[in-house]
Amino acid sequence: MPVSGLVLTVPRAADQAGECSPEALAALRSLAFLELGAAKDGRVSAVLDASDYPSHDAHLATLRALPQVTWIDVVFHDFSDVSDFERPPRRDGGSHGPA
Amino acid sequence: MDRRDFLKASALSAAAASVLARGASADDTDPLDPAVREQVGSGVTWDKAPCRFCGTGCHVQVGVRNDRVVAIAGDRQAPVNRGLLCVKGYHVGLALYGGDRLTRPMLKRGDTHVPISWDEALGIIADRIEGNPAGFAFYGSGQWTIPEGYAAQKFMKGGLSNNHIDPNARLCMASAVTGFISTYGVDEPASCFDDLEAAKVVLIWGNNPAEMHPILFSRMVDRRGRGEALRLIDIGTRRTRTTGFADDYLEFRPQSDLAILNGILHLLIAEDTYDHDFVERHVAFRREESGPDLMGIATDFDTFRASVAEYTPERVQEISGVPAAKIRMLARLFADREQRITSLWCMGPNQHTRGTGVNRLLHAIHLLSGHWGRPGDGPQSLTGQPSACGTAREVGTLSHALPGGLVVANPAHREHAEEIWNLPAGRVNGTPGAHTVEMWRRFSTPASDGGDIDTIWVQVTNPAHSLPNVDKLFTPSRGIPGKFLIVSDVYPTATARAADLILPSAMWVEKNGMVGNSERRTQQWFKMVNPPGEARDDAWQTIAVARKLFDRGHQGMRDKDANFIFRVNDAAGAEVPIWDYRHYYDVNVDEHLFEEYRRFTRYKHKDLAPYAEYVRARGLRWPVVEQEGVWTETRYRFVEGEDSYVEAGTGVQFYHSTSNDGRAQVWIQPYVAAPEEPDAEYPFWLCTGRVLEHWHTGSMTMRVPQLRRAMPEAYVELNATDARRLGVENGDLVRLETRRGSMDIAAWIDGRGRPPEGSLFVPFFDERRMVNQLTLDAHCPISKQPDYKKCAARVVCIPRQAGSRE
Repeated sequence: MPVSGLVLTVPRAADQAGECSPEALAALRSLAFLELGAAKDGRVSAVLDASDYPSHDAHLATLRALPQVTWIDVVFHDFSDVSDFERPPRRDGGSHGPA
Repeated sequence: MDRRDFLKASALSAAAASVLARGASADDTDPLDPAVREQVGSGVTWDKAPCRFCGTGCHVQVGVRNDRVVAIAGDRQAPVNRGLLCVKGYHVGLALYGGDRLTRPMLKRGDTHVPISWDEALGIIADRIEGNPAGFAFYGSGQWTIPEGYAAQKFMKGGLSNNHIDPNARLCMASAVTGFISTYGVDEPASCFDDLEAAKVVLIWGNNPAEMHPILFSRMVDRRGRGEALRLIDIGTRRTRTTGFADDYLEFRPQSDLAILNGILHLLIAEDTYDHDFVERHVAFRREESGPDLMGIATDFDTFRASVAEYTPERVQEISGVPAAKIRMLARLFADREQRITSLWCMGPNQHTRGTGVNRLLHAIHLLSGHWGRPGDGPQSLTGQPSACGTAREVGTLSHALPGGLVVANPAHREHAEEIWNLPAGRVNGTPGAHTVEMWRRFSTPASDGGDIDTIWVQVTNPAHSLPNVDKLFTPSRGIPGKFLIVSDVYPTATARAADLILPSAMWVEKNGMVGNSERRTQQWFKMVNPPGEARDDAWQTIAVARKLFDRGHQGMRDKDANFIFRVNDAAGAEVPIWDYRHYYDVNVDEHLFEEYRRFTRYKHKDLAPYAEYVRARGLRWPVVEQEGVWTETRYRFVEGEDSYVEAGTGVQFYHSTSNDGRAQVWIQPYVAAPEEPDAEYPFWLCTGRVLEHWHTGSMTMRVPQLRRAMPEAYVELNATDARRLGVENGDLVRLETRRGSMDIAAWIDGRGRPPEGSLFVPFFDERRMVNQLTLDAHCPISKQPDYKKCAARVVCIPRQAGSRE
């Protein structure tokens, strides 16, 4: 169950130097999977909590697609619970056997 | 609070700290947010390491529990990334744990690989070397750590007197090297990433840093977030994520960057807006004598002016497709002395059949305009691998090079190497070895037809996937009797599976390491977890083979005193048997190798500090010189007040000038058409490259589930107008064909990247869609770097009922 600490870059409020756009913050607050923290200078701290990697990936895709999100940086990622390491597809169609 | 709530609180605290403080303050010496550090209580220990992937050189904090990496955090003390990481960086720990790690040496018998012992494997390699010493070659990469590359370099050039060693970095930045050497007389950027905070304008030349160097790009986005004016100009052959942030986008026809650069130079002279004072004091002019060559001959300003006169804005528009008004706009920017202009480039100008020429001209526009040497004002070449600079360029694991910027062809340099290595005179061979394309061509050619290289040992790279025109340079070797391929790797890559002998390697924090990033920053880390099974350090593998030869009486593995060339003594002066893996970590072999290598670095003023300084730092930018007892790094090379080797009163001094007068060289470098251009039969340009989620051939990132899910397979980017004309819809399979090969691949129309009409783009990370079966092996005649960015292709529709995606 991956947990990521994110820094989201959003537009700044037009009339308030140093603040984040209220519209951007409202859009982020509407996302149930995201918990917001401190915000300053057009950057918002957030934590993304997901039950598994498919939903983690889907949440990240949702964030990336938001017009209010300009950039996403990651500052922390915990994957101590992850066990679903996979083997990639191969050119010859076979699977990578154990060494 | 349960563990999960605790983790979330830690993650949020770390993010908030980055937002509020923009990294750690000067008096905050904790690389981790305190909330994250609290996890030590749950059995997690933390230590620093540079990220395993690109050349940016971000530092991460690696969380380890029970001999396993379990968490990654940005390092707040790291100047490069200031606690932030990109999507690849925060998954870097997962790259260790793909389900198919190689854990035992294996020898090919018939159609299968069977486990053998390490001793057998080492003996087989020694047999191959002894059987045909001149036919042995070593192929590495910019992923070799500095000590690994140094060990390979010494083994080949100092031990075997054999210069057939080259890194895959030949494929990604050799043109940058020749550009720097022919301009400044010495390799590597003089500027640094600090420019990204000081520039008023950033020109991005054939480069997509929003995806390829996202942390550097984030620093620019961050400045805009703070309300700073920063103008981004994207000069490329297709729209990318970077274009979305750009104030201006100049789209040029492939290869015509040469014309655009000449156009800027022409206008600076024609409008008399070049920097007369800078040119008079610091610039000399140069041209190639009778054909492409590295050092050329001197020429004068009038000859140079005449050479660029034909590149009027209108003529450049004709060649490049960039409107004349935009060429004038660029020239006006360079004419404005108040501007601070940083040029960024990476693979676009480098993977180019005139790669050296484009690199020379990128330096030339800055030199002629005097936009050089002030913070935010200069050319900055980026690299794609974690130690393309630190190992390939500085240790010099290229077929012509010696450590520290020295070259085998120079007798004084060879003598210097033999002195440091304590070797008899004449041990180092003065003839350059085979460069990458030549090495693999000879390996894929029968001996009876001149293919005199019969054994290649590959470490830390995947040439069966990454070489250009791979069915010419790699595939034939697998069917030629007598050719023997040895591969050291962590996963069964396409190259490993084709090997005769596979050696399992340790990776990243499973071993000690040092790397050097694109801004001359040398970085260090310690081993944190054990490698799986019998996987072992690449440097150990090289040293163990050397010892096997030593034990058999090979004279090359002995120095002048008959000692083993990799002899390491303990504190009491007794030799430590580091060739026996059980004793490899009895001493810090990396430190011993580095301290010896460091002696080379003073020759060309690339001074490195003692190993212990790098243990404390998050990297130091060379030259690192001791001043009043403090080892001090250099931000801006050749600049008075920044670089201690610059003489007082000179302001700027190019102290390795090839004209021996302290001047940099501005080259005459005319536009030359690409060797293969679209025609009636193959009407598209085909460009290849990378994507955000995957790194190089995907051998690591395709094993990280979330990265693979985010970008599961390669695709071809197609312009919407071309797609309509061809009757292709998003996701349709198409057949992509060049004169060298074909492959079926899904089309992506108006996706992340948007090529113009008549252009295609395919990323190369997916071994099922191996685009390097299609690319040219034509290369820059000076740097020998192939052009992966342009060849002629066609698209053939596959009827939908017949096509199916995997």
